[in-house]
Amino acid sequence: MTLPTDDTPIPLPELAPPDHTDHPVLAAILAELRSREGEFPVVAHYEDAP
Amino acid sequence: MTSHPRWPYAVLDTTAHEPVPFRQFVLKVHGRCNLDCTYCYLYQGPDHGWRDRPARASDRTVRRTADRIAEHVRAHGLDAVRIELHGGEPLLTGPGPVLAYADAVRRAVPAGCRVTATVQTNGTLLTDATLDRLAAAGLRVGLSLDGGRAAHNARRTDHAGRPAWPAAHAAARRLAARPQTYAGILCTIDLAADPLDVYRSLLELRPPGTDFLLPHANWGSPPPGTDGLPPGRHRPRPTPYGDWLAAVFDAWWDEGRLGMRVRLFQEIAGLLLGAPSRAEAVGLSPLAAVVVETDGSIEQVDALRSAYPGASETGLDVFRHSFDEALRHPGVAARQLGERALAEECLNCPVGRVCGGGNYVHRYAPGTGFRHPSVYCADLEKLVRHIAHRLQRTTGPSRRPEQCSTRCL
Ligand code: SF4
Repeated sequence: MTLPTDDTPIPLPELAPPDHTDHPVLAAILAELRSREGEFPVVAHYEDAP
Repeated sequence: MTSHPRWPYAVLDTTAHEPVPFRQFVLKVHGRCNLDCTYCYLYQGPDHGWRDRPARASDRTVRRTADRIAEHVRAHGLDAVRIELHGGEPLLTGPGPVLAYADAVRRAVPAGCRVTATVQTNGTLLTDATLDRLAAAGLRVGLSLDGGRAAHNARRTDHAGRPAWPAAHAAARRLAARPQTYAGILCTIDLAADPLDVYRSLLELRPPGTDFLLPHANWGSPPPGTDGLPPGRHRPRPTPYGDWLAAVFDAWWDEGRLGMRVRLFQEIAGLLLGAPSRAEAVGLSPLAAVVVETDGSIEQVDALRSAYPGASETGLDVFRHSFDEALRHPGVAARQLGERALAEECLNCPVGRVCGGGNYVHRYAPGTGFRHPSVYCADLEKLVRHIAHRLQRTTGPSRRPEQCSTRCL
């Protein structure tokens, strides 16, 4: 389901990274986030490079 | 003489913040391209500055740029930098100039600084022999495609109108056989293309990762398929780009395996989970990238050229100026301010800590500059909320507000 954008005052849910997940895509995201731990500051990269 | 808008140029005190050193250097190897894509912001946009610059970076420019990067690395004690070998088309005259540029930088930086070098190409000149030489030198290769089929790439033609796809497709097949060298695919969104067909066709090309790029647009030059409005947070609004991306997200999320990384989706998910972003498109992380043109000019990201002529210029060059001087340029500093660069609407926006106002380039409005919501504002909110919803259903119940460790706008 795609949510509408008219619900503008509704805050985003506060989500915490789960300790464990069986979802393969989420697991990959969590692994990448863990690999960034200790990186300071995290910087944004140029969009026109992969 | 370029006339820059009021914000950030007339009002930003660039000495009032601590700059973040550059970690990514976009090096223009060639200033021309063998393709003539209809939507190209460099050659079809309002800025024709490319005509006045050399077609190729000279040996002197390459050496000087390498020395300046080394100076920056030493000054800030950096242990890793990225160089992006770009154009135009960086492989226009074969791999030689690209290899020489990467070699010059690697030789110049102090031992202990890792240099990750990537060539971003349209793929049409990426022969087996060229790929062999790039791979042997440890360069990664990224492809620019609009999808994985001929029909998706109809806007990508050479100057005689011949399609780029057959040669680009061959390049994608070659790269799929060299996963160590394959950096990924950048895909600019075309609303006319079916999102699921684009996604599936890209997956078939087996890139390690991809990113879906919103076409460069701003409040004076609205995105294809949308109406013009004054800058603001307009609701309700149609969200064709948000819908397109949400459809792709669902296919990616429900795939049952990670077929390929998708930068935009991963960064939004990471932001929702409280992590900072590594992308220009979303979040509030400082941009640590700078461009060196073929004539040695130090510039801001070239996507700014889609806003107005001269928008990426800094007036600095590697022959007379250090990269530290570029960090004090208002345009560069504005990209490192995080929420302090945001418009009022974004500061008060419930998805602001994730969206971050979107890509800076897309916030531009003629006359007033870059302190506005993105021209893709409603699309971004749609996508952020959609991913939040899917993520919430996957991770379980929300945590309570007192457990929130991230700064909420
Ligand atoms: S943070 Fe994003 S969604 Fe919110 S107002 Fe700004 S551009 Fe729009």
